[in-house]
Amino acid sequence: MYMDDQGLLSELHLAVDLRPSQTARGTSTLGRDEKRRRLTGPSPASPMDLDDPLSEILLRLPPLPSSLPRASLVCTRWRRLVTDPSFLRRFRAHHWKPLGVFFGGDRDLSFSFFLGPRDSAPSERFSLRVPRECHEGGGGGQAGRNDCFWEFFGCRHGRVVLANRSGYGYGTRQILVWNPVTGEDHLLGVSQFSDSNQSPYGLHMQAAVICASGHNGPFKLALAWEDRSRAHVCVYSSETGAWGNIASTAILRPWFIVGRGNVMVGNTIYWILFGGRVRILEFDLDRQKLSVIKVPQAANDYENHCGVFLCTLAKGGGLSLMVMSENLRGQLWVWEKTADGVFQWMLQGTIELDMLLSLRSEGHRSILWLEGDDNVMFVSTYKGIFMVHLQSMQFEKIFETDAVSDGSIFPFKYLHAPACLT
Amino acid sequence: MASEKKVVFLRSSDGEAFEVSEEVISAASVTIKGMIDEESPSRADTAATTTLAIPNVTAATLSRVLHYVNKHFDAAAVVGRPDDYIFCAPGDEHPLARFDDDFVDVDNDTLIDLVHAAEYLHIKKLFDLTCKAVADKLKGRTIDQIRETFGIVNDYTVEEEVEVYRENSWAF
Repeated sequence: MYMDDQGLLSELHLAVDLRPSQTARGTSTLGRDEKRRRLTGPSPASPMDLDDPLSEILLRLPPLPSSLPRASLVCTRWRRLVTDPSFLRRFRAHHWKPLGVFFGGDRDLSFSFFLGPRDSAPSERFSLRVPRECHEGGGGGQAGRNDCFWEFFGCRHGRVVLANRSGYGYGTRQILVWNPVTGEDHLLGVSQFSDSNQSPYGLHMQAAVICASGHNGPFKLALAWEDRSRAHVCVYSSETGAWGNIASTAILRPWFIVGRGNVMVGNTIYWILFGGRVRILEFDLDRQKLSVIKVPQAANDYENHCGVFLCTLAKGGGLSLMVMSENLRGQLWVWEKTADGVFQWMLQGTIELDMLLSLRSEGHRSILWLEGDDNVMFVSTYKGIFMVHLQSMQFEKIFETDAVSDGSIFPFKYLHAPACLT
Repeated sequence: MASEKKVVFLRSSDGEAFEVSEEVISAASVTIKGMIDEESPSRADTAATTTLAIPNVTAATLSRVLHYVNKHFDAAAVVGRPDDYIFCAPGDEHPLARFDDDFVDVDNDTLIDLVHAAEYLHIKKLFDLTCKAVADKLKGRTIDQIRETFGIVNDYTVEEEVEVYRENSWAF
C-alpha cells in the first residue's frame, strides 16, 4: 500500500460504488424495499429504464469528446442524466486518463494521443501550427514571426492556454485560449495590466481557464501576476468579452512569482507562488477575494525536496500539497478545516513513487508535472516516462525514453458535457 | 473435507434452487451475506440447510451469476495473484480476463438481466463488468441503433431533437 490514508483509497472506490445515488436512496432497508418494488414492477425493466444502473453504464462510456453528447441524443432521460453535475464529476474521476499529452519545448510542442485520434478529433488539429499561423505576425501584434514566443500554460476543460511574449522581452503580451478539438481560439491582449512606468519590460503573467461550457461555449479565464509588492487576479469572460475588476493582495518581500501550477477546488483557484519562500495564492471567484496562504515548513525546506505541487487529494477533492523528495518520496499535506473552523495543513501521508515504479536507488528521476485537478503525475525516470494516478496509484509508462527531457508535459483532457437545452 | 463446508440454497424467481458454498457467496454478494447474517441466530442450533429466496433473478440468470461467483470468489479455484485488478502491473493480463470476456459475450437481454442481478445481489465486480459490457455495446452505434438495441423510445419533440442535434452536431 503506497498511500497510508484509507480515505484516498476509498475515494477511488466511490466512483464505482454500487449505490450510485446514496443521498437519494440511502442504504436503509427502506431503500432496498423500494428497489425491489421498482425491479419487480409489472413490466420487467431493462436497466435503461432505471436511472441508477443506467448512470453506472453511461459512466463507463469511453472518455471521448463525443461520448456524452451522443448519449444525450438518445432520449430526454439520458440527456438529463449525462448533464447532471454530479454525474459529470464522477465521469471525470472514473476516467482520469487524459486524451493525450502535449510535450516538448515551447517552440516545438508535439501532441501524443493515448486514445485513438479517430475517435476524438483529427490529430492535425492538435498542432500548434494552427493558432501560431493565425496570430503570429498578423492580427493585433506588430511583431513578425521570429519575434514570437509561445509559452504553454496548461489545459483545463478542453481548452489550452498559451501566452505570447516577445522573444527577447519578459512581459506577457497576449493570451491565447485554444480549443484544439474545434480549432476555435480567442486571443486576448493583456498589456493594459502592465504599468509601463513601473515595469518597462512588461509583466510576466500566468493564466488559466476556470470554467468552460459547451463545445464552443463560453469560458472564463483567470489572469494572475505580481508586481513589486502585490499579487493581482483578473477574470475575463468570453460571454461579455470583457475583463472584470482586478482583485489584489499584498505579498511580502522578498519577491514572489506566480508559478504555472494551479488547481480548482469548487469555485476557488489556487496558484503556487515561488520566491524566497513558497506560498499559495487563493482566489475565491464567488467573493472575488484574493489572499495568500502559507505552506508547511517542509515545503520551504529547499534542501530536502525536488518539487512542490498543488493537487486535490484531500477528502472531497480539497486543496493539497505534494512535497517531493529527491528519491521520489512524496509528502502529502492537506488543507483541512479543524474543529475550530480554522483551516490548517495536516500531514496526510507519504507516497513512495520509487517503490511503486520499482526504481533502483540511483539513476535519473524527476517530476515533470502534476496535473492537480486530476492528481495525475508525470515522472521522468531512467526507465522512461510514467503517468501515475495518485488517487488509485495506477500507473502507465507513456514513453519508453525520456522524450521530453528539455521541456514540459501537459495532459489534455477533453471530457465534454453536452450542451443544455435552455 | 468438503462435507464440512456449509452450503446455502438460492431459489430463483421461477422456483429453481441452486446450491452454493456459504463462504463463497458471502464473499461475493453483500445482499446474500446480509440475508445469511439475519438468518444465522435462528439456525445456529439446527442442521437444516438455509434456502434463500431471490425473487428478482430467474434461474437462467442466477446460474450464470453463480458460475461467475464460483470462478471469482472461490479461493480454492482462483489461481495466481490476488484477485484485484488495481494491483496488476500494466501489461499483465488478469488471470480471469479471458473468462470475463467470454462471460459477457452474450445477447443484450441476458446482459441486461445480469446487470440487474449484480445490482440486486450487490456483487460489485460483476456489476462493474456487466455495466462496462453494456457501455461497450453502445460504442460505434448510431443513435437510432442504440434506441433500437435497447428498446428506448425517442421522447424528444421534433423541435427539441433538431435543437439538440444542432448544438451537438460536431459529435456526429
